[in-house]
Amino acid sequence: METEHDVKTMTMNDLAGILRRRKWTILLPALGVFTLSVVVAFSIPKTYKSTTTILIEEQGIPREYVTANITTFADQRLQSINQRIMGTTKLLDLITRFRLYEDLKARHTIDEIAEKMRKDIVFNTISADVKDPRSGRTGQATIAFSVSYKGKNPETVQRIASELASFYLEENLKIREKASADTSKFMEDERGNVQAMMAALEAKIAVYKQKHGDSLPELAQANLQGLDQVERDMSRMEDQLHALKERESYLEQELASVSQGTANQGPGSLQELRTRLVGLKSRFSDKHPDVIRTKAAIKEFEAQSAAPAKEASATQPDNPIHIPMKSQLAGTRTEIESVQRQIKSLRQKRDSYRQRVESSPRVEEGYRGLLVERNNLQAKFEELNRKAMDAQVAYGMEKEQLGERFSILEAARLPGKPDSPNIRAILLIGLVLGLGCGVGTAAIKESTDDSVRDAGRLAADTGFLVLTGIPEIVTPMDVARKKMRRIQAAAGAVAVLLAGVLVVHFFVMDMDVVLAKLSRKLGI
Amino acid sequence: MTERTVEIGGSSVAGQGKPGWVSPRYRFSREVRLDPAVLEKNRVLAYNNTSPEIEAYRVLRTRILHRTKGSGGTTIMVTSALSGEGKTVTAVNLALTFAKAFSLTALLVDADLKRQQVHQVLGFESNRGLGDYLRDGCDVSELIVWPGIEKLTVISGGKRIEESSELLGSPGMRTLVEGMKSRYEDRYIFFDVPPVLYGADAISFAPLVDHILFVVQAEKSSMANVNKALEMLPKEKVLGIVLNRQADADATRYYY
Repeated sequence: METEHDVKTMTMNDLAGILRRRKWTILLPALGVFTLSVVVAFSIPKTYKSTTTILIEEQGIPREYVTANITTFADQRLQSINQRIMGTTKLLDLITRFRLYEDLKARHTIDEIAEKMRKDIVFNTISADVKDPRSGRTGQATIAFSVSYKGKNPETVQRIASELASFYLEENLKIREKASADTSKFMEDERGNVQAMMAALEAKIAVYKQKHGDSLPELAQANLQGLDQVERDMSRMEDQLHALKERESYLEQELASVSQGTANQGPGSLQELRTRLVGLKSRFSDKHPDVIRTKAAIKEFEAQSAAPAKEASATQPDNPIHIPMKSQLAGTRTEIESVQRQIKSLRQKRDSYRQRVESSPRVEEGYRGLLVERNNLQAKFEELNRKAMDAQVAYGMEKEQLGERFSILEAARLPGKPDSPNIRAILLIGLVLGLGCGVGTAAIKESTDDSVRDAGRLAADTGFLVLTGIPEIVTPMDVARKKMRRIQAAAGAVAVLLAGVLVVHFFVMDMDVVLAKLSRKLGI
Repeated sequence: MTERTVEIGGSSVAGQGKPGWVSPRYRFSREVRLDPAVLEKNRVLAYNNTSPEIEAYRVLRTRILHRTKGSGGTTIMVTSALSGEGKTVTAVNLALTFAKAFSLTALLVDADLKRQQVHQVLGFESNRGLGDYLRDGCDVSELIVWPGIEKLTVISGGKRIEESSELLGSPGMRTLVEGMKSRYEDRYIFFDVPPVLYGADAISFAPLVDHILFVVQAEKSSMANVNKALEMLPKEKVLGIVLNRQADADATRYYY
């Protein structure tokens, strides 16, 4: 049997009916959950939180003047600092110094306490869209970060937050300075290595030069000229030798043609030779060839004069022409020997020069190779030298703390009110959750409840006529009872309110503070 | 409470009825005085005409009269699916409303032999009831109580009887009902019987009455129980349903 009441639309009346029927179903869970939330809110131990915000500042000196020799990004560095700071050793130092987690020491290991502290430290980075002035690209960059610490004691919390912040500052400087110093030292070492290589190469070049000094390319011209000169001297000497040889053969022939007796000049010739020697000595030294020749002629005369008469008469005919001719021949022969000696020396010279000229290209090649190597090393050395100087400057900048650095933007403050539990939030959640539970319970009850609600549905469902609806009979006693209940409820509410006021007064804040706050908010 | 045998003479009672109407004469009935405060406490409103809720009973009376006029049946049993749905209070108030109507008399019989409550609701002591007649065969006139309200008599009280369903369905009961019906014209007899789902009493008793009035408590009785109970009753005898204890009585106005 279909009636218009089968169409399930909820009117305000229906809603009011449900609320009236289910008021306790809604209120009891709501009150229960809310009370629970009050208990929870006031029983959870209070924790305080203090935060330091640290700004990551660009380097103080323009990059055009000094380029930092640290290429890692700030947040990468932050991560490594985090690892260092969050290390058990560092934390244990703090735990010991500030006597933290005293209550846990009895039941937990050192590592567990350190882990607890790690959880109480909150690290957050603050990023922004930054346009890189060098590349012109926009990207996310960490411009600041915050370090917070949560704990039970506000003063301790503030001190730990400050301590942690100073750790970050110190560590950053340390890391930067060390990285910069390492770079600088590396550059210096490299420069030293190259310098040592250069010195070794210079020594090698010196040895080479010494070894192949005559064949070096810079002497090639001189060698050629020398060779030419020697060859010319040699041809001159050979011509001279040729002339002397002709003269010798002529004198030999002449001497043969002169008879032996006619040319015996005897002692007079000796006298003449001696007179000539005196004249020569007055003009030349003993080493002059004419002096030598004359002395030799005198010796020969004396030897002949000292020899037995027979023999003398046999070998040296007393011929006045024969004796000078003989001496001329001897002189010529002496000259020939001298010229031949000179030619020999010149030939040696020529061979040496030739050998130099021949080996010159090979020596040049080796020499050029060494020079190229030296030039390369020189260039490398100069480059390294420049870089080492830059690194030195950058290191100076880091040392002076003018590089990219952390500065405290907002120092850790003494927390005025607890960070958790957020009583207001818990109570609000309790209220909402309670109402939700209540409404949910009511909805479930309402949907599962098939009790008779209205006459229309009753008539439709049973197929019988509903003769009438008798209203709820309210007797004066009911009214009185209701009144009494209301009075009781009001008294209960007053009691709860009083209890609430007492709880607030003793556990949250003094009542006069609450009143002052309230009057400030209400603008009284 | 005083107990005496009274005789009520219809027209001799001043200010009652109209000329030509003969008021019933009760013999050997016990008279009791009702305490208005107790009645008020037990939600018996029809005792005085001041309560606004009485209007609902008047509407109910009118509708019952309309529906029973043709059939001529005047025995009505009041029941419900389960106990505590206001069937006894409804039966008492309805009997009172009928008695107050011009030219109608009412007899209210407590047929809930396991839990006789009518006399408690009306606030008088009684040690004799339907059970005494059915089991011991005492005279009906000894059972009848006159609560000082004109044209209303009541049978209620006595011991608790366990074999109630057998007694209610017994030939003795049938004879009694027949006798009650034939005794006075225009007398409506209301039987307060146990809830349908509490045993066989209501089902055993249903064949003996002309009409059945089914009481449902708003926002308490479940539809499943109501349907189950109604299925057990003879459909043709069900006059209709009374939706009791409605918080928002206006909601039903539309259906009257």
